[in-house]
Amino acid sequence: MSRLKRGKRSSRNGQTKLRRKQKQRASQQRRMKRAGRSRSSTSSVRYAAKKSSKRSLLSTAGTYNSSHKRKDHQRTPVVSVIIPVLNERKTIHRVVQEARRIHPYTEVIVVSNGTTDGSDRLAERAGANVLRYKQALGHDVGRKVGAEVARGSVLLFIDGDMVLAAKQLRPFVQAIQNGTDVALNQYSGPQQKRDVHPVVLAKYALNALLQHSELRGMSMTAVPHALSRSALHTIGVEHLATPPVAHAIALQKGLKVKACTYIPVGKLNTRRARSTAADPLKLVVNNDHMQAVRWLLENTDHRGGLTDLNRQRQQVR
Amino acid sequence: MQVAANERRYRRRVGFSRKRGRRGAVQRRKSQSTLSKSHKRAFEPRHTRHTSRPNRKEHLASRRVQRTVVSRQSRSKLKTMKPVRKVDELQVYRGGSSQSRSAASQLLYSKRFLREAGHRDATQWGQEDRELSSLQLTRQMNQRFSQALQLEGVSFPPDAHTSYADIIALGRSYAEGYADIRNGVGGDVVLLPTTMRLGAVLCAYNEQDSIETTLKQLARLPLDEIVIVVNGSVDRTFELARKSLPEAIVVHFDKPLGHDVGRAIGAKLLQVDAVLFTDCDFTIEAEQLGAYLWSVASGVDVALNDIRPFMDKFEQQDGISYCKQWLNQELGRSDLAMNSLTAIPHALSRKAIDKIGYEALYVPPRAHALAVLHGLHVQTACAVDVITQNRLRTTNIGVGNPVAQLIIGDHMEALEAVWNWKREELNAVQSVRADIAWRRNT
Repeated sequence: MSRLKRGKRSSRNGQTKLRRKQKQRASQQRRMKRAGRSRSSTSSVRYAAKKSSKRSLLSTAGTYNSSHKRKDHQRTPVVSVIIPVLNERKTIHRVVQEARRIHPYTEVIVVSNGTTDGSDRLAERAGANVLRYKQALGHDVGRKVGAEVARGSVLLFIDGDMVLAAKQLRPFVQAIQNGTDVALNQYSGPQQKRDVHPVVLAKYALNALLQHSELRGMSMTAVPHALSRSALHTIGVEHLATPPVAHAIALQKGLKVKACTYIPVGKLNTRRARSTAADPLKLVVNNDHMQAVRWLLENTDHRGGLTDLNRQRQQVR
Repeated sequence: MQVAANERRYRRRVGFSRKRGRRGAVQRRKSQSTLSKSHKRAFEPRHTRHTSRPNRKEHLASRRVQRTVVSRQSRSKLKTMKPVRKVDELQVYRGGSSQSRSAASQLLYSKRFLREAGHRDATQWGQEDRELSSLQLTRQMNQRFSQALQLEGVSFPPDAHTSYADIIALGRSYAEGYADIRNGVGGDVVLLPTTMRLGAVLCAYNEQDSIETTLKQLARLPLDEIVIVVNGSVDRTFELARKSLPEAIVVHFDKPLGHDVGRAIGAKLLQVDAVLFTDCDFTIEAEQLGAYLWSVASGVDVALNDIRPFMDKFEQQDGISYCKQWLNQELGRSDLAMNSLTAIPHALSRKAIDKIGYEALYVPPRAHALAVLHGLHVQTACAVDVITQNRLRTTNIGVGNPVAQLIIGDHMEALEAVWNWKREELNAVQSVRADIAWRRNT
């Protein structure tokens, strides 16, 4: 029975592969067509990307809101939105636009690392403050870099590949302004699966180790989440590069960590090509959780500060 | 003579079914309109035939009735219904190469033989056995049972091909044979034919209500040594332990030792090859306890209790369960899920205790981690429901109760052990971070 099923699935896989190929071909053709057409008919995003490579920024002043920029200069921003970007030109423009609408005084910091497709220029055009790094900094390291230069009293972390409306993001900012230190996405990982994902398990387990089982699988690993400036100070900017460590510190030091709204990021995440080999990211995220355990072990005792309930260990000799 | 009789019976049966076949044909013609229905029905009796095979001898009449039902169904069915001569149907079948017997018939034969061996041993040694205590009797019977198995030709010590259920079944038929002669004495023993020396550690903390029943179950097993660690008990636990199992070593501590410390003390005192760890919270049948020892006897170093069947879905589990699963995942043994040395009962081999050290046993998750890290053979052996049957105390109910905190703290120690073991490997992953991020997005 199981063999039968497997056979079916594999055949379906073959189909999807085929379909993907067809799609790729179709998109290629479309691109060819576009190139042939006149410039006026190209989509605005692509147009911007191409133009900025040739002309200076000043000449395109009409397409972007300069008044907003002036405001940023006049007043220190309240909200800093930090967006690490690595080749996400399909979405980055809209992401930045939405981010800027969260609060009247918002600065958007795009940390472009290793970008080769012009997403950094698109972000700049959309009104973001762009930090450029030629090399990829590493998973989640962009968050740390962005947080270092952020000036706002609320730091909101989102991803460049996922367009979230400003309306969806505002609750995070409001939660921080109402006194929460860390506002998390109420997302605990995919639920309807029979076998739990290893990363999801690690998140659940870390919360359990920290005596916060009520947070279930929520973690600072997932975007979006927001921090207050004082929380950032307590956690330490350098720990933002390994979110589980930051999460562990926040809980261990007794910061107010709260679930905010539910955004199903699992569904919104861009589908990446599934490799047959083990996902290397799984390894990194799992390792990050082990790093969190190490931080706990180093900063508390070897039992994570938990009771030994009157164990007479010396009796065993 | 006997063969001829069987031959006659065989012929008679063929003639019988043929007659029925003709009648069946008529029946079929009559009910041709309901073809599909008869087709459906055709499968049913076949199943019942299979299941009733062992009882055939006793219920000749009922079998005939069944056959008539079958023969009415269809002719194609009839063709395949040639009476097959099964080895276990023929009483004279003896000798020949044992390979030609099917596994089931082999078991059936061995059972019959062992029952007779039980009879024989009881008549031979019954008088002497009268002086023995229950545990000594179990041990004696186990020795004789092993010898009987060797005589029968079951490979000794039985290999992986002989399942635990088979061993238990053989042991039971031997014990039944023995008990027949001795008026029911020794009928309930669980026999484990192994050359290993077996032992058990029992921790008791104010268990006067349950210690007797637990010890009764332990006495059904062929254990060479038993250590009962009585600690902090202010009731009759010690007295009852001494009284109900005089052979056991009872270690007494005035003050409570705390969780799981008794295990380490027991493991240190025992000098046996396989150690079973259990407690008195509720009665576990000796057959189930034996499964862990048998698992160790057949080559496993750490035989765990499989609590997976009794757990909820992932979302409904508690924090301890998540910790257990994550620990196993970090150890590279996701297949163990939430099973670890935290749950009793479990059994360890002498090799396992020597490798991880008996001191490690007072923090069970750490001992578990060390066992896996040392490359020991860790497997689940049997499923005993310790989740719903566990006794509720004031300390182990509610969210964030002291016992839960204790166990989570134990897991911190276990993860510390993992860190100390895999430090280089874990730090190496951090250095390839950038590389991975770049590869993912391009």
